[in-house]
Amino acid sequence: MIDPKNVFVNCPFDNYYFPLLKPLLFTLIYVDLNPQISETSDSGVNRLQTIKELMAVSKYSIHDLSRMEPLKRKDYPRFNMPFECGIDFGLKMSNEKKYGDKKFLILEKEQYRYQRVLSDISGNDIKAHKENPEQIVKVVRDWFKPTNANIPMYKEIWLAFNEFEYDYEQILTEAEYDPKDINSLTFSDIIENMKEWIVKYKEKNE
Amino acid sequence: MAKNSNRKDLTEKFRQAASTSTGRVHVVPSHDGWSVKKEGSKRATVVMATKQGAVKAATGLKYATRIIVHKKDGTIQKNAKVK
Repeated sequence: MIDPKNVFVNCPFDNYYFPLLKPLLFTLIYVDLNPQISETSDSGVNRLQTIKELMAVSKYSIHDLSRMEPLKRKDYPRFNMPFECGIDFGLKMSNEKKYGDKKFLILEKEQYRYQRVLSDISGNDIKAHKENPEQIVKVVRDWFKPTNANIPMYKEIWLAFNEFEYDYEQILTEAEYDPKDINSLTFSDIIENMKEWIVKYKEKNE
Repeated sequence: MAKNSNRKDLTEKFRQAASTSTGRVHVVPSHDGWSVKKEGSKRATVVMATKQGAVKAATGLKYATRIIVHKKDGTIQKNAKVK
């Protein structure tokens, strides 16, 4: 059953994207939403099934298609994100009664680049994050604004995230883990620690 | 999972870190300039046009014991004790 607080997150899972993934997850949790993200350790078939199940329980999805070009000259582009985005659109169109209210935010590096490679998604909500962590906080927060009258200003979230980043770096370093490595903690651990941190942070400010 | 902490210990550290009040002051780059923010406060105390100006303003705050200067991705560029 679709949960109106669930947000399926489809994005690159690597250390290059980690500085964008953390503020993205932090913003969702800060505005009382539940990010749904598949662990990278799942095997191929299970992973696709898990992804479909996460999409099926999420009213919202964020698909980041910015990795349509390789990071380095000899690398290959990554097609996982457009592939999963297509599955999500397919799910929505397969049963309008059940999934018709699902809403998608497409993230890109530049505002109009998608038109050259994936013009079928024109007309959807496509926002550019410019590979800037502050910008990703702003576009995600602004996209959810119409759904939440009490949503905080993006600057409040950005400042809180910076404070979280300090604690994240200190705590992981103390535990002998590399805070810059996306694989140091599982996604469920990162989300749980963010949730606990945000609850206490907000309590302190009440 | 973390080498020197089990899952519960680590989560508890995040809880404590967010609950504790310290004299740390964060200098954060943003679209409108460099924000000076007391740890735990939701809003910036002041926003300065330059990083140098923000560090100077942070250092001048009575309660400041440490100044944490952030990079554009939120990570730490400098962590210095206030003399």
